Amino acid sequence: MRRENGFGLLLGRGHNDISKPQQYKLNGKGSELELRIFAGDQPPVNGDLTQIYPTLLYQGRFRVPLGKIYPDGTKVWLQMSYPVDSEHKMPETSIWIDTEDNFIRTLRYEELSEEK
Amino acid sequence: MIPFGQVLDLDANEFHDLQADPNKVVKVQGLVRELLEGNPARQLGIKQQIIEDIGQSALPGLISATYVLVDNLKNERQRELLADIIYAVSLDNPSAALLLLKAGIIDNPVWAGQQIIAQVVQRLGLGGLAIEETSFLLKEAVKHAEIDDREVAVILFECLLPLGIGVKEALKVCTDWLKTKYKIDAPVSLISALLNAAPEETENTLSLLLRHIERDNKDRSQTFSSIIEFTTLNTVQGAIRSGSQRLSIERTGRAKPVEFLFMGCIARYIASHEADIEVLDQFINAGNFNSGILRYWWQALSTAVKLKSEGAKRNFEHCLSHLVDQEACLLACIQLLYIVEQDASTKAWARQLLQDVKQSNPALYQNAVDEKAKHKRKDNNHEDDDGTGLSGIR
Repeated sequence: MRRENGFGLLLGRGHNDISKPQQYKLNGKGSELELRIFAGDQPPVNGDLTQIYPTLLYQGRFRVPLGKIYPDGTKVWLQMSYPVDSEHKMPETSIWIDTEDNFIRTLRYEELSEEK
Repeated sequence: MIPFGQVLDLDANEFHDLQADPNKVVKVQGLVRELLEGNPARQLGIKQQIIEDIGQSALPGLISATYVLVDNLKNERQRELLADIIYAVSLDNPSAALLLLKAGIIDNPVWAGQQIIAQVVQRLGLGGLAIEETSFLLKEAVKHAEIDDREVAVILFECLLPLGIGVKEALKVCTDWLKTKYKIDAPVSLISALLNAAPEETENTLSLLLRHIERDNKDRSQTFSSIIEFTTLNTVQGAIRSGSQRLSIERTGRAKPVEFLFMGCIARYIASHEADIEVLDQFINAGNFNSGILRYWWQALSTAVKLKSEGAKRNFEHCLSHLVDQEACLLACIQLLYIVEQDASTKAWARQLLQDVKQSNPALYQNAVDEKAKHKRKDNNHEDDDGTGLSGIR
């Protein structure tokens, strides 16, 4: 996922497996959150994502309405995971904002291409 | 479509998206990373490898590199290097321009990447696009303007306007944007593109801008005056007419946007087009303009003197040696008094000129000193807080 500078890892495999929501912050005041998602090689053990930048391929973007305007620096939690008990083979992304129990929505992977 | 004669030519690619050949995209991105991290000799080798060995089919990977390697593009030289390669592989490929616009600008998720591709598109030009393609781009420009994706809208309009496409739509977008409280940069960039593409519309275009900036808004005025550049005498004359229109709706006959138009855009123009100073001087004196225009014209000349314009100096000297137009002479003297106070490099010249006036026409000299003091008192007492008076502008 594209961050203000560089990329953040939302979903890994093996030693990079991420099961918990990852915490980020809004980089500006707004009522919409834009997520830009990329896929690439597995990051190295030391976690240095810059090494896999040349392997990244753009998958698309989501523009998620947040329901109200949140200030710059508001906490955001993102979790990308494979849905349990579902026919879907593609991962989905869940979003929380401001507080850990303020769930916004879950996005299906197919929605990326619709927003592209 | 690939021309029939080039069906078997591997370099005659028709591109649709970036993901048709992911392996090649990743390979090219790897080369771009090496290029950006390599020394100049290595960079030359990689540049040749991409352009000559991979050729046009490197384009999707190069565009994708502007998405994912933007953090490696640390300086202008690196951005130019990448832009040069993208330009080289896009030449002579009729499909390239549309892919650059769609994947490189409209879909590009990274602003810095969009700027690199915009630079390439402007070098390439859009002359080869079909009508339905330019119509698509115009619709996209309007759509992105409506959803406030202003950078993309401005880039698309900047590409379309030189083809004479989108003038009406761009004016409407500017009007809508200027009514909002957002920063003024995007509408001013669009107005700048409109002025270049449709110079005959300068008066209307600038009137639109000047009408939507509050009379005392220094920040917005400063922004537009630093972005807009005039390149022809006709556009400056149109700008003067629009400035006069703006002043005519002000009770005080003063307004920051007009002041900055003269002190910024017009002063820079006359400093670099000295032969036009006399023509503009006659244009202003002969035209039926708002009386405030003459004052701003002398401020523009004063700024041009500080920009080392010999032509502007001659205009002062000519005016004060002939003493024909009393109002112009008074305004010229007031400006010289400011130059003596504030500009070390030209104050000796201004002081000498004032000394000559003092001897030849002491009443005029005293009048100028009194007027300047009056403005200074007003400024100190904050009576004229719009700052557009002679003292307020410095």
